[in-house]
Amino acid sequence: METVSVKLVKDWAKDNCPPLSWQRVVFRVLPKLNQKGVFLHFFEKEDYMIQEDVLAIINAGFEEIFKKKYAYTTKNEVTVSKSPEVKENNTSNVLQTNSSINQDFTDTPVKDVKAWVLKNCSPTAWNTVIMSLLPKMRELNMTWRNLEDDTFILESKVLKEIQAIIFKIYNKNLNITQ
Amino acid sequence: MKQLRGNFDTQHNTYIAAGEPLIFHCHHYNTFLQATLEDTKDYIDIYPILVDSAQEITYAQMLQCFTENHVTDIAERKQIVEDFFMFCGYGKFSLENLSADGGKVISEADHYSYGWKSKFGLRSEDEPMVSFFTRGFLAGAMEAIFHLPLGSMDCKQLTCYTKNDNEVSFELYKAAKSKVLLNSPKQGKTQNYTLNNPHNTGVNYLGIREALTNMPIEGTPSSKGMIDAFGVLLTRMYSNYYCQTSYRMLKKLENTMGADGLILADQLLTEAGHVCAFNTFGGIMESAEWNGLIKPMCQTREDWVHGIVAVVNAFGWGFWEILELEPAQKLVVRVTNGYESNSYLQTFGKSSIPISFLAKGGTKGIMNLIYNGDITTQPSLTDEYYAEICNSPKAFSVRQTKCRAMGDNEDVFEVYL
Repeated sequence: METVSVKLVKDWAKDNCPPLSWQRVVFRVLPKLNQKGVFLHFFEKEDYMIQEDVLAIINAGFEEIFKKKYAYTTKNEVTVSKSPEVKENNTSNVLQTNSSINQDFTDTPVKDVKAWVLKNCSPTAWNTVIMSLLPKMRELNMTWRNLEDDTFILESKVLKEIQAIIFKIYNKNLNITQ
Repeated sequence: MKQLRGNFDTQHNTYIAAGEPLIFHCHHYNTFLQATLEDTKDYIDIYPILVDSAQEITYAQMLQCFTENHVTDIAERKQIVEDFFMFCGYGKFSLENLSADGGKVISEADHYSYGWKSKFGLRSEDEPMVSFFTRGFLAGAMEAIFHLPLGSMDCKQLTCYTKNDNEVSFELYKAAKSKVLLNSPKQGKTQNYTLNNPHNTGVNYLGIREALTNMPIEGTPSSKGMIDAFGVLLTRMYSNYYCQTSYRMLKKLENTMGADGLILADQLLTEAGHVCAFNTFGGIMESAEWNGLIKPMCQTREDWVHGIVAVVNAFGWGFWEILELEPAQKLVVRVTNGYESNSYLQTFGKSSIPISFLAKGGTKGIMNLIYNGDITTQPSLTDEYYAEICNSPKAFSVRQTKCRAMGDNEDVFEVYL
């Protein structure tokens, strides 16, 4: 049976998940750990070795909350495993694979971009774009209301973000150059 | 049309609207707190707590509002509820098609649904839709509008942005079996106090509070009932909603999991406050309002600490005062009339553990923003920057050294390296 130290898993969580993720996961699966005879104070010792079945419970928690899980290939080598079936809906973590990732766009009014998105993606796609952009609004120096103003001019950096969103969700490349 | 707005009560440093204290909080706090509460779903029946707490509070508030103002017309009552929901930044809906038997409510925007999707993304298939607060709000408001008994209505969510739907909608209906719900704690066990300007800083606490409490921070029809301010989506939330949901969860947790659960809950509820401080305090300290109103009063980094504490005094969170500030080392803050203790004492009486989690996380966040990170240089308040601050060797810790709910006369927090 494989085992892994608490320290390794905590360090992995620190590097790969948001702060306090270890606590959130343990909080979620605490009764299941208790059923296995594992209690919170066990984890206070960083050299405490987590058994394979307990790690499976902890990993289920990581997968549910963060769509990631700790995995090892050898006793000392740590790898990160991402669940392939779950799409991460965080624009800052978009894994771009399309060819247009570095494409520069000409500044374009909201009206034209919105029309293209609605026509080529889905009738609800513009709302999805607005909501997916919310976490980046400050960085892009705009507010969500700008995206509801047809005359507002979208700069290339904003269009790149929109391109990333629609590629991820609709598998389409934004084509507004004409 | 009559409007329910409430007033800022300077004797208690909080907003009161028809008997209910209202406080400012952002979508980061609202959704992180809810996520933490939902983490207990496998061993605590948490979802009814999230809905029923809102139902109790809204029912009490709206009933008081209608009674005090002699509002008997159903259409006018509906308008007051719609308008208040929007004003507080909860979102925007129409109750036009609602009868005493129930009906469908379609929302143009909903804070929890919008906020959750922007912070955490979509919810998975096996998770319920996210707007538990709105469900309770609608059920409680409807009972008050139609003068139905508390607990007689129920509300389910039909669509949600977090399920990739294009709208948020709800259905109200008569509960198959009336729910046994309780009265809101309202203002709870309060403390009277007077805010004074400290002598060791040029920061004008009274002036800042006066300016901020008169700013039109509110949802409007054109913003679809969203308050997009300081880089976050703000709400004027019922303080009792946070308290009832958090403390009811804690009580059940203690019964189910014992002390182990409480230790984790303490850390996570405090983290919700820390997330809130990072995003809201950080957003404020980078805002035009800060640069125009507060920054000119700040000669030193310590004045920045005073500046943001002065701002907190306009949030409705009670009176915040700095008792001790050792630059880059230590901060001691006293909170008088803190909403967490007020509500806890009224509902549960004495506690065996400190319970002011939001204030604890908030004070820690102030030190981390100013002395661990450097908010004075206007960094982007990203998830990466947050992680960098939290994982830094310069990260601050916090403890609550006095707690009214434990029998002390005040709530005191010590932030230290």
